[in-house]
Amino acid sequence: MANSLFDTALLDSAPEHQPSQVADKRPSRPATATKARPHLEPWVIAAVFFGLYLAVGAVLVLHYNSIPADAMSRVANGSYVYRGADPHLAAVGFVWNPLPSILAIPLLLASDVWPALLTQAFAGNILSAAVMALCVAVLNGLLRDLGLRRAPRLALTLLFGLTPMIVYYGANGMSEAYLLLAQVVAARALLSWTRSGTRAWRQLVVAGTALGLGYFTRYEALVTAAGAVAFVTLVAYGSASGPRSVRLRLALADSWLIGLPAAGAFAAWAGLSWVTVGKPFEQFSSSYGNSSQVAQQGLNGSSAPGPIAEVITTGLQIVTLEPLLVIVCLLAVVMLINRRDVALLVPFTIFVPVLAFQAIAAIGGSTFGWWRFYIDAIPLTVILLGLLITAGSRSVSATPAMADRPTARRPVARAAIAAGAALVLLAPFGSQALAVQDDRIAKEENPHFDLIVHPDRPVAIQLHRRFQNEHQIAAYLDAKQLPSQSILVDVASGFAIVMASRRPESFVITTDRQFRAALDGIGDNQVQYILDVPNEARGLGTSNAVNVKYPSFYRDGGGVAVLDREFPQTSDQPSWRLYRVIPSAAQDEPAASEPDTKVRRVVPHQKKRLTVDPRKVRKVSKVITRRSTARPS
Amino acid sequence: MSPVSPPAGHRSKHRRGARGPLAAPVNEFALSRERSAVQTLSPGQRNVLAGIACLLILGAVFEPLITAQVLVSLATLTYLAAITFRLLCLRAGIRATATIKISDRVALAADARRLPRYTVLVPAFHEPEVIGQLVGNLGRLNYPANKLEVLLLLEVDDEVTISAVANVTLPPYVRVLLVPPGGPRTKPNACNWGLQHATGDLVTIYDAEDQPEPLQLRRAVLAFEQLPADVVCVQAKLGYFNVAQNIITRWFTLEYVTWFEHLLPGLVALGAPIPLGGTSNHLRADVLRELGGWDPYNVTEDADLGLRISRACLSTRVLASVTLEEANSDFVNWLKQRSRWYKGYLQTWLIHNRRPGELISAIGIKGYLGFTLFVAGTPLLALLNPIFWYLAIVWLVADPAILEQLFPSIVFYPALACFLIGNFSMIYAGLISARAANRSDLVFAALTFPAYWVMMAISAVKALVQLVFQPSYWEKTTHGLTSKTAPTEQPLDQAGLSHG
Repeated sequence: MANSLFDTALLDSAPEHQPSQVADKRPSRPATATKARPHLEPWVIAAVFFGLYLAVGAVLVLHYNSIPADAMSRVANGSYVYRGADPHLAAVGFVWNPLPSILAIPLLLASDVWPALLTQAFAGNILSAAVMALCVAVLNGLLRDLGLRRAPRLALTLLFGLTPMIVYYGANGMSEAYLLLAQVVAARALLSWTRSGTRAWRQLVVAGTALGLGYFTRYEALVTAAGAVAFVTLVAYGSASGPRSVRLRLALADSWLIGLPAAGAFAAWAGLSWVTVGKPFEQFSSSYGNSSQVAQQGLNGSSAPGPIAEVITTGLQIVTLEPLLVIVCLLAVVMLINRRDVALLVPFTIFVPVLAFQAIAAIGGSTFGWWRFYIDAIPLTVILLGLLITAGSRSVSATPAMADRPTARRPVARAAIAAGAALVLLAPFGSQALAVQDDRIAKEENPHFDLIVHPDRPVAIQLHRRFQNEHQIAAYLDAKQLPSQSILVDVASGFAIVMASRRPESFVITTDRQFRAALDGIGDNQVQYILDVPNEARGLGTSNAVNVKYPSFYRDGGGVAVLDREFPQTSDQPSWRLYRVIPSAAQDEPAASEPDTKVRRVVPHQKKRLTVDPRKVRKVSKVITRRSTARPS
Repeated sequence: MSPVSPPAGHRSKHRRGARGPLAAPVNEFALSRERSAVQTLSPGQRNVLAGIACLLILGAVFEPLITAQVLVSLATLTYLAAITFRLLCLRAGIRATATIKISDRVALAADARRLPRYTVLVPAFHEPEVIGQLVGNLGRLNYPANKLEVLLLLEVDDEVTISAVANVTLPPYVRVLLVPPGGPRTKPNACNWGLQHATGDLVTIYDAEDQPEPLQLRRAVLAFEQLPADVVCVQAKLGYFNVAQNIITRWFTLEYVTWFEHLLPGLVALGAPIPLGGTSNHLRADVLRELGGWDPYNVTEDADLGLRISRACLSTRVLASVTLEEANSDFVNWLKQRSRWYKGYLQTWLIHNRRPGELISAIGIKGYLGFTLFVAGTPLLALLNPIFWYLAIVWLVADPAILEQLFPSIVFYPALACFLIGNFSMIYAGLISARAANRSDLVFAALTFPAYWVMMAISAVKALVQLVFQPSYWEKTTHGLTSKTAPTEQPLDQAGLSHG
């Protein structure tokens, strides 16, 4: 099982490894050596990069407190499944894809021993490090499949794995690694499929399954799957023989093979979301979803720039990720036209649709246009480069024009290829280092960069204090030893409080199936305290369930609660106010003389327990189970 | 060409076998009653079943909710196991090199003088219309006529078929045998009669309308030569010649493609017993006689024989050669056929589970699990499917509180995963099978396979109704199917019996 991870020939009986196609005039190594290494190489690479990413992650989180809010809330979503007053699987939520959160649960079970796994979401860092390391190892396998000799293969692999953005997103607990892994596995499988002359249909199963699973981590996998289906349909149709109807039938068979898992994943997720929260597409329709967040917070808090400015920003973001991407793409297109080798289309098929989708969405103003949304530019460049080197080396050795030339010139040609490749691979190190200092390009990454390099800047200070306030609130409430479900909080803003609490069951949170009833019955039930953020865009204040019900709650307690304590803002997270609920009996006292209205209230002084039996409300359509957090994935 | 009369004494011999104690044989090849479906349940099994029934009744009366929860949990576990096993099997089958391939060149080059005598058994009953096809189909077989023996097995009182045979000029290698009355009027009973008179070293069975690939016998001979001595049976693949007739025949074909191209080779690779297909299984005659021939009382005698081969530590391989049959294109006929298969599967499972310990020590725990998940799991899950579909629909539409109680979280999520992943992976597996077999014409059938599962569920219900609410029906089976099956239905029975 484990071995197949690196071997996209998952179902093949024959090993996928092909002998190097780069003509190599040096004496060949003993067969045993070349056979043994490929099996070991990806594992060594995976282990080394896992160690590297994990070490960087540990320094970021444990030393600098550099925790992206999204990484934190992915882990938070996993924690709601097993801890709190109403643990249940659907609490993982439907705004974001669930797999990263679910995978975190086994690690979180160890958080009693090591609280940082949960309170600082370090479980997410362990996972992203592992997944990114696997991604690098699969890329190594892909390059081996291409026939790259060990030196260029290792150079490409290592430089890909060491690219700053790859290191950062391997280390920081975000979900980019999952998407990249699914895409690189799919790219490797599709390359095998094209090399086999479209006969290796098992590779389509591998690619399809990878993208189907990928959809459970990132929505973009669906965009890649659409590109892959189109590619497979066209190539299978083109390579089939026979009458048109037969070719079409063959092409459709193959396109279903690669497309069905993603389609199934999409349908299953939408269906589950619809059954559980009554909406099939929470990501787009929920007030916690991307679109709503963009609308609430605007683009990076500033007034939206014009489309021209967005085009420039998007262009800069892509160019700084991979400065020579355009040149590599042009070379690939030229090669594609000359050679008619469809393999060159594979990286375009896998990565370009996502880049295009993100660029259009950002320019259209429907997403935040984060820098990381274009991270696909990196594997796109490296894989295209691998294909170009393979093709180029073959030309040097094999084409008649080159073969006629004196052999002395071949090393020169080889050196030129090597130099060009080195330039392509090294350029992003510089450009990314420059771009991260610009908060218009690296909108999210720049503060974290400042945190480490310029710790005295206000933004860095804020980031360093991120969640400290929340930790204090948790400690304050824990000390009160409150009973079960007595503190109501919308975890879209308050996830860090609940995560830091040692008494998570004392909260009623948005994912609890009793939340809606609890909020609607304030004063009549066991909720004693309500935590709230200002009714403003920052910290998702306007969509906060408490503010939606009582718009002035933060200011005056909405007439149902009195201020207990304020926790002023210390970081980029909002300030908090803790309100104590006035029991209905107390509220009603002035009206107590009107007997008619009181008759129906049987025991007004006795607080009702939240009577919703969790087992009776698995289908949570009546109660909200929303995603907890703040930002788009 | 005059029909051969049954030898005197057959009837009394048979009766003696049928009336003896459990150890007494039920056929001429000393197959014991214990290993036969002559009695569906042994006394021990009856007691165990009665015990389970009592427990269930007690549970239903005193702790109905817990009982229901336990049942739901068990069903979920079974689903998980069956789905996992099926996927493993498919994966192994696609990777497997278990299918024996003998090239045309090698098959044709085999020296005619060295080829063994081959007996082809063709049981037929009330099938006058296919006798003409039979001559054409078997005439295409490429095998030296002096080494070939085709035994056409007809029932003594089957006058229509006998007269149809009399009107046809049969080739010299075809002999007509009249099966004596008295035994259960089933295909295996007729085959046993044929086996008694067979002179071949190798034996195979074809239905009258089957179109075996011409080189199949030669390939089987060469396969036996190449394979180790413990391989006593090679099963050729079955396919259909009327695939495109309608959607039922497409589904049926896809099912057979999955079965013969992938699941059977997968079972071989996993070391599980192979339930044979009803026709085109090629057997060593001497071993077959030693194993006890066919069980005349089992309605899937082929699956049963496959099990007996496994129990004797012998094995079966799959041969890359196709026999084309006619797919059942009519829903009602399909239903009758399929419910009979399911009943036969349950019979087979029960017979071989009379002493589970013995079976496990013979075929190993892996083999036993494979056998149980396939032979008992297929009909039982087909039966459970409608219940869980119904529950899923009720859950979606009405969401009654009782369902929440029935599915505590620890069961609910696995059940939900089963429902989503299981159904999806079975559809995808069908698609993979179609693609692996280069049958892109079956893609639509693969995508619409769930509708076929509904048909399977209906036939499973029918099989269960016969099993549970008509115990007398089983009594009839034990004493012979003659009175049960109307003549018009019999040809269908014959086809129905032929599944593995």
